Amino acid sequence: MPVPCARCSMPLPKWELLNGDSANCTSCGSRNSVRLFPAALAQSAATRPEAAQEGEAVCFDHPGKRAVSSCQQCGRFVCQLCSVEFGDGVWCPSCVANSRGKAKQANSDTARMLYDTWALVIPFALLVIWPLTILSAPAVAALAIMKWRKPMSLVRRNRWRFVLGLAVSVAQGGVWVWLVWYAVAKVRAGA
Amino acid sequence: MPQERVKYRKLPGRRRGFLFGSSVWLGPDHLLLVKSARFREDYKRFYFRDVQAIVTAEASRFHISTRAALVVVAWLGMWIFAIGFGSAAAVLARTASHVEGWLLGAGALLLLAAWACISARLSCRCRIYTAVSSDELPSLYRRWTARRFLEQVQPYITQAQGAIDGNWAEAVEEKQVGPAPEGRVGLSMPGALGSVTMPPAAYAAWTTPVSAFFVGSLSVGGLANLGALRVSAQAGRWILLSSLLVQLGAAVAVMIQCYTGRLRTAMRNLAITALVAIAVWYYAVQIGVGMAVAYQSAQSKSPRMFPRQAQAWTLFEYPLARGSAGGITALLGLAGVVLGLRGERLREEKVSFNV
Repeated sequence: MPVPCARCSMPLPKWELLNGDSANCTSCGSRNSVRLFPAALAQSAATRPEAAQEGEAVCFDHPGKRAVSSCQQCGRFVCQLCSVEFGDGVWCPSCVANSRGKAKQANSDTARMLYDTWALVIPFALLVIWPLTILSAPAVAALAIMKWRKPMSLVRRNRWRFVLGLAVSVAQGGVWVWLVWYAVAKVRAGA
Repeated sequence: MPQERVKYRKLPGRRRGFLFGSSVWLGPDHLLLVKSARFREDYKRFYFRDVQAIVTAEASRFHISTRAALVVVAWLGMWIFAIGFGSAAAVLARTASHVEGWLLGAGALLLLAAWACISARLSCRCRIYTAVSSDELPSLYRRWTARRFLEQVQPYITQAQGAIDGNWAEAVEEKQVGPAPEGRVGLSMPGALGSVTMPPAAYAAWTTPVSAFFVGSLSVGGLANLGALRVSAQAGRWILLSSLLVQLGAAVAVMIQCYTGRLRTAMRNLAITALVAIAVWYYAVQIGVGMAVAYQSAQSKSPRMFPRQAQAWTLFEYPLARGSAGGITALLGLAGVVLGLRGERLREEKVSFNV
């Protein structure tokens, strides 16, 4: 299978790639620029388990295949196909399947909720419906304090959104307190 | 066990959408693709040792980033200010002699043309392939950004994997770049053509009668509005309204055809651009003329609550409104003609290749 077009995924013509790193897709007409790396050439050898010679250790699930490692959980021998790199070690497919819950926990960095963005956006967005800020101000302040130590975005390095959101919600709360105090004072003065 | 915090460096390219964004970051031994949906981020890692190929295809990308939207809003603000306060009298006299408004309008058209040109001619799609995945990198949608990205990333991958010696095109023919094909046709798989589904884009046409009608309505409508600047205000209004209605209907029909897989996405993007442009133009005219009328009403000795000039129907009578609408739609029509001709050229090339 030659290199696929980045636009339509159809294979690029080999005869054009022979002359350089770019080729016109014969399906969609896009000009593709290709950077290929050695992993593309080594891939099939890496995933195809080798047949075991006589006297060699074999895979637990594939008796005809040479074992390349042993599972760090159960000790079974595994072939190239069955070896699953997990953390720093190698596991067999059964152990990965049995520890599905743990595996999910260990791989929690595939998505994160951005609580700091919530804390920043809510106080500003609710200014459009400003009476609701009487509820949102304490809620956002609580959110910012409770989630302060939660993991943030993998690529952001500071908490300015939390700080700004907290400051705005505290200001909104302050304005509401002042308004209530003012209204009560007015009522008392009238009475 | 607390995980050690990995430090990432930002790589060139960032897609800033209103709801969704994307960027790619450089880690110690991997690339991190970040797709954000405002309040949530999804991550995907591509380890240097696993990257098989990075392929960039030239393709049109009519993406409106939040920065571009900010420029549009600032420009509209200036335009409205120029029309509304600068020369209310000129606008109300229904003459189009206001220099600032015209200059800003012409500048906006130039910016629009530049954006359309860059989106159509200088954009790309970039995909990264590993043995088990084929992912698009949405943040790389301009060619110069993709080039800079590759310049920065390639040394790291080469350091991890080494470089390919000799001609790789021969060697890779026997291998498979990217994950096992599902919708892809493999040249090395005999008999596969009949069993796999080809992507609809391969069958979709560049132009259909509906898209030709859409492009025609944009061009003819735009030219008619520009040509009718000297006719009476009422006649101009009806020409503008009828052309806009036809264009809107045709744009919707084009989008339906694209959705059903009969038309390529380039024409759909043009339809979306036309709809957005018409909407922006409509609101700009309403706000601009409304402000001008309010200004004039405040200046006059007997202000009326709802002067005739501010009524929705009469807004379309102003030469500035008709002229700008005509200019915008004529430009979009021109873009449609270029798209159609390009598609025709590509189709002919493909036919001659097959023959």
